[in-house]
Amino acid sequence: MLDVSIRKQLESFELDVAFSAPLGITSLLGPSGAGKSMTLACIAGLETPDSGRIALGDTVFFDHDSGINVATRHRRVGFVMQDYLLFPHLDVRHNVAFGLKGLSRAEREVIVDEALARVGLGEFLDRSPSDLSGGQQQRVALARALVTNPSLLLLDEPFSALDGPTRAVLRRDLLDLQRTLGLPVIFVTHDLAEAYLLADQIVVIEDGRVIQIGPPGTVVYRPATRSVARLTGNNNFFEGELVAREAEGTLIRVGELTLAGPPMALPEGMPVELGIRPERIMLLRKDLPVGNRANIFRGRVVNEMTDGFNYTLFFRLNGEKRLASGGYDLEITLPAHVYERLHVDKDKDWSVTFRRNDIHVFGAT
Amino acid sequence: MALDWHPLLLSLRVASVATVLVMLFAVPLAWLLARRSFFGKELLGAIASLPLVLPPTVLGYYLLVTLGNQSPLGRWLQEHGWSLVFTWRGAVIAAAIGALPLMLETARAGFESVDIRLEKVARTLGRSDFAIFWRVTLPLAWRSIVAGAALTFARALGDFGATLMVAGNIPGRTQTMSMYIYDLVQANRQAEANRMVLVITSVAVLLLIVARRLSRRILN
Repeated sequence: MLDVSIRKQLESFELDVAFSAPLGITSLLGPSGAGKSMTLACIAGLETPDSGRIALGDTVFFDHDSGINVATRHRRVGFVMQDYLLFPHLDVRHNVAFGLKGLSRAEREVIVDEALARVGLGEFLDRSPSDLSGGQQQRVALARALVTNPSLLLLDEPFSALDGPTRAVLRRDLLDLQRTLGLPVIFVTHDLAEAYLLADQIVVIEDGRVIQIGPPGTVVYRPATRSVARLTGNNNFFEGELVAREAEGTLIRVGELTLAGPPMALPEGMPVELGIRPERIMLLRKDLPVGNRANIFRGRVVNEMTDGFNYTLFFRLNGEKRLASGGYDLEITLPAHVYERLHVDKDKDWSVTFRRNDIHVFGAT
Repeated sequence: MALDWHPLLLSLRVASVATVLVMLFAVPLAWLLARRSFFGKELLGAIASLPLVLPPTVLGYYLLVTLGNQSPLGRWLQEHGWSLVFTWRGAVIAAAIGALPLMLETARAGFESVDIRLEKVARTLGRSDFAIFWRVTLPLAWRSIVAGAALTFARALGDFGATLMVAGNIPGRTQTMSMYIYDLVQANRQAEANRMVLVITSVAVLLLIVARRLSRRILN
Protein backbone atom coordinates (compact mmCIF):
# COMPACT_ATOMS: atom_id res chain seq x y z
CA MET A 1 0.00 0.00 0.00
CA LEU A 2 1.32 3.38 -1.02
CA ASP A 3 0.23 6.36 1.07
CA VAL A 4 0.64 9.81 -0.38
CA SER A 5 -0.23 13.07 1.33
CA ILE A 6 1.70 16.02 -0.03
CA ARG A 7 1.62 19.71 -0.75
CA LYS A 8 3.79 21.57 -3.20
CA GLN A 9 3.54 25.15 -4.42
CA LEU A 10 3.80 25.23 -8.21
CA GLU A 11 3.99 28.23 -10.49
CA SER A 12 0.29 28.53 -11.25
CA PHE A 13 -1.38 26.54 -8.47
CA GLU A 14 -0.77 24.56 -5.33
CA LEU A 15 -0.60 20.79 -5.52
CA ASP A 16 -2.36 19.34 -2.49
CA VAL A 17 -3.15 15.66 -2.88
CA ALA A 18 -3.77 12.74 -0.54
CA PHE A 19 -4.63 9.19 -1.52
CA SER A 20 -3.70 5.57 -0.91
CA ALA A 21 -2.89 3.06 -3.61
CA PRO A 22 -3.30 -0.60 -2.64
CA LEU A 23 -2.04 -3.54 -4.69
CA GLY A 24 -3.61 -3.33 -8.10
CA ILE A 25 -3.94 -0.49 -10.54
CA THR A 26 -4.69 3.04 -9.44
CA SER A 27 -5.34 5.64 -12.10
CA LEU A 28 -4.70 9.33 -11.57
CA LEU A 29 -7.32 10.85 -13.84
CA GLY A 30 -7.62 14.50 -14.70
CA PRO A 31 -7.14 17.13 -17.37
CA SER A 32 -3.68 18.19 -18.55
CA GLY A 33 -1.89 20.43 -16.10
CA ALA A 34 -3.86 19.17 -13.11
CA GLY A 35 -0.76 18.05 -11.24
CA LYS A 36 -0.87 14.33 -12.04
CA SER A 37 2.64 14.05 -13.45
CA MET A 38 4.03 16.21 -10.67
CA THR A 39 2.46 13.81 -8.17
CA LEU A 40 4.26 10.89 -9.84
CA ALA A 41 7.53 12.84 -9.83
CA CYS A 42 7.15 13.44 -6.08
CA ILE A 43 6.48 9.73 -5.45
CA ALA A 44 9.61 8.85 -7.43
CA GLY A 45 11.63 11.48 -5.56
CA LEU A 46 12.40 13.46 -8.69
CA GLU A 47 10.62 16.43 -7.14
CA THR A 48 10.44 17.32 -3.47
CA PRO A 49 7.11 18.32 -1.90
CA ASP A 50 7.00 21.34 0.39
CA SER A 51 5.35 19.28 3.09
CA GLY A 52 3.61 16.00 3.73
CA ARG A 53 4.49 12.33 3.70
CA ILE A 54 4.96 9.52 1.18
CA ALA A 55 5.30 5.93 2.38
CA LEU A 56 5.17 2.53 0.77
CA GLY A 57 4.07 0.11 3.47
CA ASP A 58 6.55 0.55 6.33
CA THR A 59 9.11 2.27 4.13
CA VAL A 60 8.98 6.05 4.41
CA PHE A 61 10.10 7.76 1.18
CA PHE A 62 9.45 11.29 2.32
CA ASP A 63 8.38 12.82 5.60
CA HIS A 64 8.74 16.54 5.88
CA ASP A 65 8.21 16.60 9.64
CA SER A 66 11.00 14.12 10.42
CA GLY A 67 13.24 15.36 7.61
CA ILE A 68 13.23 12.08 5.67
CA ASN A 69 13.76 12.33 1.93
CA VAL A 70 15.04 9.07 0.44
CA ALA A 71 17.02 9.58 -2.78
CA THR A 72 15.29 8.44 -5.95
CA ARG A 73 17.83 5.71 -6.58
CA HIS A 74 17.08 4.09 -3.21
CA ARG A 75 13.28 4.14 -3.56
CA ARG A 76 13.07 1.18 -5.96
CA VAL A 77 10.30 2.79 -7.96
CA GLY A 78 9.86 1.69 -11.57
CA PHE A 79 8.93 4.70 -13.67
CA VAL A 80 7.87 4.57 -17.32
CA MET A 81 7.67 8.18 -18.44
CA GLN A 82 5.88 9.75 -21.34
CA ASP A 83 7.83 9.17 -24.60
CA TYR A 84 9.45 6.14 -22.85
CA LEU A 85 12.87 7.86 -22.85
CA LEU A 86 15.06 4.96 -23.87
CA PHE A 87 18.75 5.85 -23.83
CA PRO A 88 19.40 6.69 -27.48
CA HIS A 89 23.11 5.76 -27.36
CA LEU A 90 22.47 2.26 -26.01
CA ASP A 91 20.95 -0.75 -27.76
CA VAL A 92 17.93 -2.54 -26.33
CA ARG A 93 20.09 -4.97 -24.32
CA HIS A 94 22.02 -2.20 -22.60
CA ASN A 95 18.92 -0.12 -22.04
CA VAL A 96 17.28 -2.97 -20.17
CA ALA A 97 20.48 -3.82 -18.28
CA PHE A 98 21.02 -0.20 -17.22
CA GLY A 99 19.56 -0.62 -13.75
CA LEU A 100 21.38 -3.90 -12.97
CA LYS A 101 24.33 -3.45 -10.65
CA GLY A 102 26.85 -5.80 -9.06
CA LEU A 103 26.11 -8.77 -11.28
CA SER A 104 28.32 -10.76 -13.57
CA ARG A 105 27.88 -10.35 -17.29
CA ALA A 106 26.30 -13.80 -17.54
CA GLU A 107 23.82 -13.07 -14.77
CA ARG A 108 22.87 -9.78 -16.39
CA GLU A 109 22.28 -11.48 -19.71
CA VAL A 110 19.95 -14.06 -18.19
CA ILE A 111 17.88 -11.34 -16.51
CA VAL A 112 17.75 -9.13 -19.61
CA ASP A 113 16.77 -12.05 -21.86
CA GLU A 114 14.03 -13.04 -19.46
CA ALA A 115 12.69 -9.50 -19.15
CA LEU A 116 12.59 -8.98 -22.91
CA ALA A 117 10.98 -12.37 -23.45
CA ARG A 118 8.30 -11.38 -20.95
CA VAL A 119 7.38 -8.32 -23.01
CA GLY A 120 7.66 -10.29 -26.26
CA LEU A 121 10.80 -8.61 -27.63
CA GLY A 122 13.29 -11.48 -27.34
CA GLU A 123 14.81 -10.93 -30.80
CA PHE A 124 15.32 -7.18 -30.45
CA LEU A 125 18.39 -7.28 -28.19
CA ASP A 126 20.78 -5.58 -30.57
CA ARG A 127 18.40 -3.01 -32.01
CA SER A 128 18.82 0.67 -31.43
CA PRO A 129 15.83 2.44 -29.81
CA SER A 130 15.37 4.56 -32.92
CA ASP A 131 14.63 1.38 -34.91
CA LEU A 132 11.70 0.47 -32.67
CA SER A 133 8.04 1.40 -33.01
CA GLY A 134 6.34 3.36 -30.23
CA GLY A 135 4.76 0.23 -28.81
CA GLN A 136 8.07 -1.62 -28.83
CA GLN A 137 9.80 1.31 -27.14
CA GLN A 138 7.17 1.27 -24.45
CA ARG A 139 7.73 -2.45 -23.86
CA VAL A 140 11.49 -1.96 -23.61
CA ALA A 141 10.96 0.90 -21.15
CA LEU A 142 8.71 -1.37 -19.11
CA ALA A 143 11.26 -4.21 -19.18
CA ARG A 144 14.00 -1.76 -18.18
CA ALA A 145 11.95 -0.66 -15.17
CA LEU A 146 10.97 -4.21 -14.16
CA VAL A 147 14.46 -5.76 -14.08
CA THR A 148 15.28 -3.62 -11.05
CA ASN A 149 12.53 -5.44 -9.10
CA PRO A 150 10.65 -2.28 -8.20
CA SER A 151 8.26 -2.29 -5.28
CA LEU A 152 6.02 0.20 -7.06
CA LEU A 153 5.38 0.91 -10.73
CA LEU A 154 4.57 4.39 -12.05
CA LEU A 155 3.34 4.95 -15.61
CA ASP A 156 2.89 8.45 -17.02
CA GLU A 157 0.42 8.49 -19.94
CA PRO A 158 1.80 5.14 -21.08
CA PHE A 159 -0.60 4.65 -23.97
CA SER A 160 -1.34 8.13 -25.24
CA ALA A 161 1.27 8.17 -28.02
CA LEU A 162 0.26 4.80 -29.49
CA ASP A 163 -2.13 3.90 -32.29
CA GLY A 164 -5.43 2.25 -31.40
CA PRO A 165 -4.66 -1.46 -31.99
CA THR A 166 -1.23 -1.26 -30.27
CA ARG A 167 -2.82 0.55 -27.38
CA ALA A 168 -5.44 -2.19 -26.97
CA VAL A 169 -2.76 -4.92 -26.93
CA LEU A 170 -0.55 -3.08 -24.46
CA ARG A 171 -3.45 -2.31 -22.15
CA ARG A 172 -4.33 -5.98 -22.02
CA ASP A 173 -0.67 -6.83 -21.38
CA LEU A 174 -0.56 -4.39 -18.50
CA LEU A 175 -3.54 -6.10 -16.89
CA ASP A 176 -1.85 -9.52 -17.25
CA LEU A 177 1.42 -8.13 -15.95
CA GLN A 178 -0.21 -6.54 -12.93
CA ARG A 179 -1.67 -9.91 -11.92
CA THR A 180 1.75 -11.57 -11.95
CA LEU A 181 3.68 -8.70 -10.38
CA GLY A 182 1.63 -8.14 -7.24
CA LEU A 183 2.66 -4.53 -6.65
CA PRO A 184 0.87 -1.22 -6.69
CA VAL A 185 0.73 0.27 -10.17
CA ILE A 186 -0.10 3.95 -10.55
CA PHE A 187 -0.78 5.30 -13.97
CA VAL A 188 -1.62 8.78 -15.09
CA THR A 189 -4.18 9.38 -17.81
CA HIS A 190 -6.64 11.99 -18.99
CA ASP A 191 -8.70 9.32 -20.73
CA LEU A 192 -11.67 8.14 -18.70
CA ALA A 193 -12.27 5.09 -20.90
CA GLU A 194 -8.70 3.99 -20.27
CA ALA A 195 -8.98 4.55 -16.53
CA TYR A 196 -12.30 2.69 -16.44
CA LEU A 197 -10.84 -0.21 -18.41
CA LEU A 198 -7.66 -0.68 -16.40
CA ALA A 199 -8.02 0.74 -12.94
CA ASP A 200 -9.20 -0.87 -9.75
CA GLN A 201 -9.34 2.59 -8.26
CA ILE A 202 -9.58 6.03 -9.84
CA VAL A 203 -8.22 9.16 -8.19
CA VAL A 204 -9.66 12.22 -9.91
CA ILE A 205 -7.32 15.22 -9.74
CA GLU A 206 -8.15 18.72 -10.85
CA ASP A 207 -6.28 21.98 -10.26
CA GLY A 208 -3.92 20.20 -7.90
CA ARG A 209 -6.65 18.72 -5.67
CA VAL A 210 -8.11 15.24 -5.35
CA ILE A 211 -11.79 15.67 -6.01
CA GLN A 212 -12.84 12.04 -5.86
CA ILE A 213 -11.43 8.62 -5.06
CA GLY A 214 -13.29 5.44 -5.80
CA PRO A 215 -13.77 2.39 -7.99
CA PRO A 216 -14.45 3.22 -11.66
CA GLY A 217 -18.20 2.54 -11.38
CA THR A 218 -18.59 5.01 -8.54
CA VAL A 219 -16.64 7.74 -10.29
CA VAL A 220 -18.78 7.40 -13.41
CA TYR A 221 -22.20 6.90 -11.81
CA ARG A 222 -21.72 8.78 -8.53
CA PRO A 223 -19.39 11.63 -9.51
CA ALA A 224 -18.55 13.89 -6.60
CA THR A 225 -18.73 17.12 -8.54
CA ARG A 226 -19.92 18.47 -11.81
CA SER A 227 -16.34 18.61 -13.12
CA VAL A 228 -15.82 14.91 -12.39
CA ALA A 229 -19.09 14.19 -14.15
CA ARG A 230 -17.98 16.25 -17.12
CA LEU A 231 -14.67 14.39 -17.18
CA THR A 232 -16.63 11.15 -17.36
CA GLY A 233 -18.65 12.30 -20.35
CA ASN A 234 -21.76 13.74 -18.74
CA ASN A 235 -22.98 17.09 -20.03
CA ASN A 236 -26.56 17.16 -18.71
CA PHE A 237 -26.54 19.33 -15.60
CA PHE A 238 -29.45 21.13 -13.99
CA GLU A 239 -30.03 23.32 -10.97
CA GLY A 240 -33.19 22.47 -9.07
CA GLU A 241 -34.93 22.32 -5.74
CA LEU A 242 -36.15 19.34 -3.76
CA VAL A 243 -39.84 20.11 -3.36
CA ALA A 244 -41.41 16.95 -1.96
CA ARG A 245 -41.01 13.32 -1.07
CA GLU A 246 -43.11 10.46 -2.35
CA ALA A 247 -43.22 6.71 -1.96
CA GLU A 248 -40.44 5.79 -4.41
CA GLY A 249 -38.30 8.88 -4.08
CA THR A 250 -38.46 12.63 -4.36
CA LEU A 251 -39.84 15.37 -6.55
CA ILE A 252 -37.39 17.90 -7.87
CA ARG A 253 -38.37 21.15 -9.52
CA VAL A 254 -36.20 22.34 -12.38
CA GLY A 255 -37.46 25.62 -13.82
CA GLU A 256 -41.17 25.08 -14.32
CA LEU A 257 -40.87 21.32 -14.69
CA THR A 258 -41.00 18.69 -12.00
CA LEU A 259 -38.84 15.59 -12.18
CA ALA A 260 -39.28 12.33 -10.31
CA GLY A 261 -35.97 12.06 -8.45
CA PRO A 262 -34.18 9.36 -6.47
CA PRO A 263 -34.61 8.89 -2.73
CA MET A 264 -32.27 11.16 -0.78
CA ALA A 265 -31.73 12.35 2.73
CA LEU A 266 -31.80 16.08 2.01
CA PRO A 267 -34.48 18.34 3.54
CA GLU A 268 -37.34 19.71 1.43
CA GLY A 269 -36.68 23.14 -0.06
CA MET A 270 -33.01 22.32 -0.49
CA PRO A 271 -31.38 23.52 -3.73
CA VAL A 272 -29.79 20.60 -5.57
CA GLU A 273 -27.58 20.06 -8.57
CA LEU A 274 -28.47 17.19 -10.90
CA GLY A 275 -26.73 15.22 -13.59
CA ILE A 276 -28.27 12.73 -16.03
CA ARG A 277 -25.87 10.61 -18.05
CA PRO A 278 -26.60 10.88 -21.80
CA GLU A 279 -26.69 7.12 -22.37
CA ARG A 280 -29.28 6.73 -19.60
CA ILE A 281 -31.90 8.73 -21.50
CA MET A 282 -34.12 6.55 -23.70
CA LEU A 283 -36.21 7.30 -26.76
CA LEU A 284 -39.69 5.80 -26.31
CA ARG A 285 -40.73 3.43 -29.06
CA LYS A 286 -43.86 4.66 -30.78
CA ASP A 287 -45.29 1.16 -31.40
CA LEU A 288 -45.36 0.21 -27.72
CA PRO A 289 -47.52 1.50 -24.87
CA VAL A 290 -45.76 4.03 -22.66
CA GLY A 291 -46.77 2.22 -19.48
CA ASN A 292 -46.36 3.65 -16.03
CA ARG A 293 -43.26 5.78 -16.44
CA ALA A 294 -42.09 8.94 -14.75
CA ASN A 295 -40.09 11.68 -16.44
CA ILE A 296 -41.51 11.62 -19.96
CA PHE A 297 -40.80 14.64 -22.13
CA ARG A 298 -41.88 15.39 -25.67
CA GLY A 299 -39.50 17.18 -27.95
CA ARG A 300 -37.40 17.18 -31.08
CA VAL A 301 -33.87 16.21 -32.10
CA VAL A 302 -32.41 19.56 -33.19
CA ASN A 303 -28.86 18.43 -33.85
CA GLU A 304 -26.82 15.23 -33.86
CA MET A 305 -23.37 13.83 -34.39
CA THR A 306 -21.77 10.40 -34.49
CA ASP A 307 -18.35 8.79 -34.05
CA GLY A 308 -19.52 5.82 -36.12
CA PHE A 309 -20.45 3.69 -33.10
CA ASN A 310 -22.74 5.94 -31.12
CA TYR A 311 -24.96 8.88 -31.93
CA THR A 312 -25.16 11.97 -29.78
CA LEU A 313 -28.58 13.63 -30.11
CA PHE A 314 -29.30 17.18 -28.94
CA PHE A 315 -32.90 17.15 -27.78
CA ARG A 316 -35.07 20.22 -27.30
CA LEU A 317 -38.30 19.99 -25.30
CA ASN A 318 -41.52 21.16 -26.93
CA GLY A 319 -43.32 24.18 -25.49
CA GLU A 320 -42.36 26.90 -23.08
CA LYS A 321 -41.41 24.74 -20.12
CA ARG A 322 -37.79 23.83 -20.53
CA LEU A 323 -35.04 22.20 -18.50
CA ALA A 324 -32.35 24.43 -19.94
CA SER A 325 -32.28 27.83 -21.57
CA GLY A 326 -30.00 27.08 -24.55
CA GLY A 327 -30.76 25.60 -27.96
CA TYR A 328 -31.36 22.16 -26.48
CA ASP A 329 -32.28 20.62 -23.12
CA LEU A 330 -30.77 17.15 -23.12
CA GLU A 331 -27.80 15.39 -24.66
CA ILE A 332 -28.68 11.79 -25.47
CA THR A 333 -26.31 9.01 -26.51
CA LEU A 334 -27.67 6.17 -28.63
CA PRO A 335 -25.83 3.11 -30.00
CA ALA A 336 -25.76 3.12 -33.80
CA HIS A 337 -27.91 0.00 -34.15
CA VAL A 338 -30.66 1.55 -32.02
CA TYR A 339 -30.49 4.78 -33.99
CA GLU A 340 -30.91 2.81 -37.21
CA ARG A 341 -33.71 0.57 -35.96
CA LEU A 342 -35.71 3.56 -34.73
CA HIS A 343 -35.02 5.47 -38.00
CA VAL A 344 -34.00 8.57 -36.09
CA ASP A 345 -32.40 9.78 -39.32
CA LYS A 346 -35.90 10.35 -40.77
CA ASP A 347 -37.99 10.95 -37.68
CA LYS A 348 -36.92 13.75 -35.32
CA ASP A 349 -39.96 14.02 -33.05
CA TRP A 350 -39.75 11.83 -29.97
CA SER A 351 -40.70 11.31 -26.42
CA VAL A 352 -37.79 10.63 -24.12
CA THR A 353 -37.61 9.27 -20.62
CA PHE A 354 -35.16 8.48 -17.86
CA ARG A 355 -35.59 6.53 -14.64
CA ARG A 356 -35.63 8.44 -11.40
CA ASN A 357 -32.63 6.49 -10.14
CA ASP A 358 -30.63 7.60 -13.16
CA ILE A 359 -30.77 11.16 -11.89
CA HIS A 360 -27.57 11.77 -9.95
CA VAL A 361 -27.81 14.43 -7.28
CA PHE A 362 -24.37 15.87 -6.47
CA GLY A 363 -23.45 15.78 -2.84
CA ALA A 364 -26.43 13.64 -1.82
CA THR A 365 -24.61 10.30 -2.22
CA MET B 1 67.86 29.83 -45.52
CA ALA B 2 66.35 26.58 -44.25
CA LEU B 3 62.98 26.58 -42.58
CA ASP B 4 62.93 26.20 -38.82
CA TRP B 5 60.40 23.51 -37.83
CA HIS B 6 60.73 24.12 -34.12
CA PRO B 7 57.96 26.75 -34.02
CA LEU B 8 55.45 24.36 -35.66
CA LEU B 9 56.29 21.55 -33.24
CA LEU B 10 56.11 23.97 -30.31
CA SER B 11 52.74 25.30 -31.49
CA LEU B 12 51.37 21.76 -31.80
CA ARG B 13 52.70 20.89 -28.36
CA VAL B 14 51.31 24.06 -26.78
CA ALA B 15 47.92 23.59 -28.45
CA SER B 16 47.71 19.90 -27.42
CA VAL B 17 48.54 20.53 -23.78
CA ALA B 18 46.27 23.59 -23.71
CA THR B 19 43.39 21.53 -25.16
CA VAL B 20 43.79 18.83 -22.52
CA LEU B 21 43.93 21.46 -19.77
CA VAL B 22 40.87 23.25 -21.11
CA MET B 23 38.90 20.01 -21.34
CA LEU B 24 39.75 19.05 -17.76
CA PHE B 25 38.59 22.43 -16.54
CA ALA B 26 35.84 23.48 -18.95
CA VAL B 27 33.88 20.21 -19.23
CA PRO B 28 33.00 19.98 -15.53
CA LEU B 29 32.34 23.73 -15.48
CA ALA B 30 30.09 23.43 -18.54
CA TRP B 31 28.17 20.64 -16.82
CA LEU B 32 27.74 22.81 -13.72
CA LEU B 33 26.48 25.73 -15.79
CA ALA B 34 24.12 23.49 -17.78
CA ARG B 35 22.72 21.38 -14.96
CA ARG B 36 23.04 23.12 -11.63
CA SER B 37 21.80 26.41 -10.32
CA PHE B 38 23.94 28.19 -7.74
CA PHE B 39 24.71 31.69 -6.52
CA GLY B 40 26.84 33.67 -8.97
CA LYS B 41 26.26 31.27 -11.86
CA GLU B 42 25.62 34.02 -14.40
CA LEU B 43 28.65 35.99 -13.25
CA LEU B 44 30.85 32.92 -13.45
CA GLY B 45 29.59 32.23 -16.97
CA ALA B 46 30.30 35.82 -17.98
CA ILE B 47 33.82 35.82 -16.54
CA ALA B 48 34.59 32.53 -18.24
CA SER B 49 33.49 34.01 -21.58
CA LEU B 50 35.55 37.16 -21.09
CA PRO B 51 38.64 35.94 -22.99
CA LEU B 52 36.49 35.81 -26.13
CA VAL B 53 35.73 39.54 -26.05
CA LEU B 54 38.86 41.02 -24.47
CA PRO B 55 41.73 42.09 -26.77
CA PRO B 56 44.38 39.34 -26.58
CA THR B 57 46.97 41.81 -25.32
CA VAL B 58 44.69 42.81 -22.47
CA LEU B 59 44.18 39.17 -21.63
CA GLY B 60 47.93 38.66 -21.77
CA TYR B 61 48.45 41.65 -19.49
CA TYR B 62 46.02 40.20 -16.94
CA LEU B 63 47.89 36.89 -17.04
CA LEU B 64 51.23 38.63 -16.69
CA VAL B 65 50.00 40.54 -13.65
CA THR B 66 48.48 37.40 -12.10
CA LEU B 67 51.21 34.93 -12.93
CA GLY B 68 54.27 37.16 -13.30
CA ASN B 69 57.21 37.13 -10.93
CA GLN B 70 55.85 40.23 -9.16
CA SER B 71 52.66 38.45 -8.02
CA PRO B 72 52.47 36.11 -5.00
CA LEU B 73 51.22 33.29 -7.24
CA GLY B 74 54.03 33.92 -9.71
CA ARG B 75 56.65 33.91 -6.96
CA TRP B 76 55.26 30.69 -5.51
CA LEU B 77 55.37 29.05 -8.93
CA GLN B 78 58.92 30.28 -9.48
CA GLU B 79 60.09 28.89 -6.13
CA HIS B 80 58.73 25.46 -7.15
CA GLY B 81 60.41 25.57 -10.54
CA TRP B 82 57.15 26.16 -12.40
CA SER B 83 57.85 29.62 -13.66
CA LEU B 84 55.39 30.55 -16.39
CA VAL B 85 56.66 33.86 -17.68
CA PHE B 86 58.86 33.50 -20.76
CA THR B 87 58.47 29.70 -20.81
CA TRP B 88 56.47 27.39 -23.09
CA ARG B 89 54.28 26.61 -20.08
CA GLY B 90 53.28 30.27 -20.04
CA ALA B 91 52.34 29.93 -23.69
CA VAL B 92 50.13 26.95 -22.77
CA ILE B 93 48.34 28.97 -20.09
CA ALA B 94 47.84 31.95 -22.39
CA ALA B 95 46.51 29.78 -25.22
CA ALA B 96 44.31 27.79 -22.86
CA ILE B 97 42.68 30.83 -21.28
CA GLY B 98 42.06 32.36 -24.70
CA ALA B 99 40.40 29.17 -25.99
CA LEU B 100 38.47 28.30 -22.84
CA PRO B 101 35.20 30.06 -23.82
CA LEU B 102 34.96 28.03 -27.04
CA MET B 103 35.14 24.73 -25.17
CA LEU B 104 32.87 25.98 -22.43
CA GLU B 105 30.11 27.20 -24.71
CA THR B 106 30.21 24.14 -27.01
CA ALA B 107 30.22 21.68 -24.12
CA ARG B 108 27.50 23.61 -22.30
CA ALA B 109 25.28 23.49 -25.39
CA GLY B 110 26.06 19.77 -25.64
CA PHE B 111 25.03 19.09 -22.05
CA GLU B 112 21.93 21.23 -22.40
CA SER B 113 20.87 19.25 -25.48
CA VAL B 114 20.75 16.04 -23.41
CA ASP B 115 17.12 15.45 -22.40
CA ILE B 116 17.16 15.91 -18.64
CA ARG B 117 14.38 13.35 -18.34
CA LEU B 118 16.87 10.67 -19.45
CA GLU B 119 18.87 11.49 -16.33
CA LYS B 120 15.71 11.30 -14.25
CA VAL B 121 14.85 7.87 -15.66
CA ALA B 122 18.40 6.76 -14.86
CA ARG B 123 17.92 7.85 -11.27
CA THR B 124 14.74 5.79 -10.93
CA LEU B 125 16.80 2.83 -12.18
CA GLY B 126 18.94 3.09 -9.07
CA ARG B 127 21.98 4.83 -10.49
CA SER B 128 24.09 7.44 -8.68
CA ASP B 129 24.58 10.92 -10.11
CA PHE B 130 28.21 10.05 -10.81
CA ALA B 131 27.30 6.92 -12.78
CA ILE B 132 24.61 8.86 -14.67
CA PHE B 133 27.13 11.51 -15.70
CA TRP B 134 29.52 8.90 -17.09
CA ARG B 135 26.97 6.56 -18.64
CA VAL B 136 24.26 8.90 -19.90
CA THR B 137 25.13 12.59 -19.95
CA LEU B 138 28.74 12.45 -21.08
CA PRO B 139 28.23 9.88 -23.89
CA LEU B 140 25.29 11.89 -25.24
CA ALA B 141 27.21 15.17 -25.10
CA TRP B 142 30.44 13.60 -26.29
CA ARG B 143 30.33 14.79 -29.88
CA SER B 144 29.87 18.38 -28.73
CA ILE B 145 32.83 18.01 -26.46
CA VAL B 146 34.99 16.62 -29.26
CA ALA B 147 33.87 19.46 -31.53
CA GLY B 148 34.69 21.92 -28.76
CA ALA B 149 38.10 20.33 -28.37
CA ALA B 150 38.79 20.77 -32.10
CA LEU B 151 37.85 24.45 -31.89
CA THR B 152 39.96 24.85 -28.76
CA PHE B 153 42.95 23.26 -30.46
CA ALA B 154 42.56 25.48 -33.51
CA ARG B 155 42.22 28.60 -31.41
CA ALA B 156 45.21 27.66 -29.24
CA LEU B 157 47.30 26.93 -32.31
CA GLY B 158 46.82 30.47 -33.59
CA ASP B 159 47.17 32.49 -30.42
CA PHE B 160 49.45 35.49 -30.77
CA GLY B 161 48.84 38.47 -28.51
CA ALA B 162 48.30 36.80 -25.16
CA THR B 163 51.12 34.32 -25.74
CA LEU B 164 53.47 37.11 -26.73
CA MET B 165 52.72 39.02 -23.53
CA VAL B 166 53.20 36.04 -21.23
CA ALA B 167 55.78 33.85 -22.95
CA GLY B 168 57.55 36.32 -25.19
CA ASN B 169 59.04 35.45 -28.53
CA ILE B 170 62.27 33.63 -27.80
CA PRO B 171 63.45 31.64 -30.85
CA GLY B 172 63.98 27.98 -29.95
CA ARG B 173 62.16 28.39 -26.63
CA THR B 174 58.84 30.21 -26.81
CA GLN B 175 58.60 31.16 -30.44
CA THR B 176 55.37 29.61 -31.77
CA MET B 177 54.19 29.44 -35.38
CA SER B 178 52.30 32.72 -35.27
CA MET B 179 55.33 34.58 -34.01
CA TYR B 180 57.74 32.85 -36.36
CA ILE B 181 55.57 33.88 -39.29
CA TYR B 182 55.48 37.43 -37.95
CA ASP B 183 59.26 37.47 -37.69
CA LEU B 184 59.65 36.03 -41.20
CA VAL B 185 57.46 38.76 -42.62
CA GLN B 186 59.31 41.43 -40.64
CA ALA B 187 62.60 40.09 -41.98
CA ASN B 188 61.15 40.15 -45.50
CA ARG B 189 61.58 36.36 -45.91
CA GLN B 190 58.44 36.15 -48.04
CA ALA B 191 58.88 32.64 -49.50
CA GLU B 192 59.40 31.02 -46.14
CA ALA B 193 56.50 32.94 -44.66
CA ASN B 194 54.28 31.72 -47.52
CA ARG B 195 55.15 28.10 -46.85
CA MET B 196 54.55 28.42 -43.12
CA VAL B 197 51.25 30.16 -43.73
CA LEU B 198 50.20 27.34 -46.05
CA VAL B 199 51.12 24.71 -43.47
CA ILE B 200 49.20 26.35 -40.66
CA THR B 201 46.23 27.08 -42.92
CA SER B 202 46.04 23.40 -43.88
CA VAL B 203 46.07 22.34 -40.25
CA ALA B 204 43.33 24.86 -39.43
CA VAL B 205 41.14 23.81 -42.38
CA LEU B 206 41.50 20.17 -41.40
CA LEU B 207 40.47 20.97 -37.84
CA LEU B 208 37.46 22.99 -38.94
CA ILE B 209 36.26 20.17 -41.18
CA VAL B 210 36.53 17.72 -38.29
CA ALA B 211 34.72 20.10 -35.96
CA ARG B 212 31.96 20.82 -38.50
CA ARG B 213 31.43 17.12 -39.20
CA LEU B 214 31.15 16.30 -35.53
CA SER B 215 28.76 19.12 -34.76
CA ARG B 216 26.55 18.20 -37.70
CA ARG B 217 26.31 14.69 -36.36
CA ILE B 218 25.13 16.11 -33.06
CA LEU B 219 22.34 17.95 -34.80
CA ASN B 220 21.09 14.82 -36.53
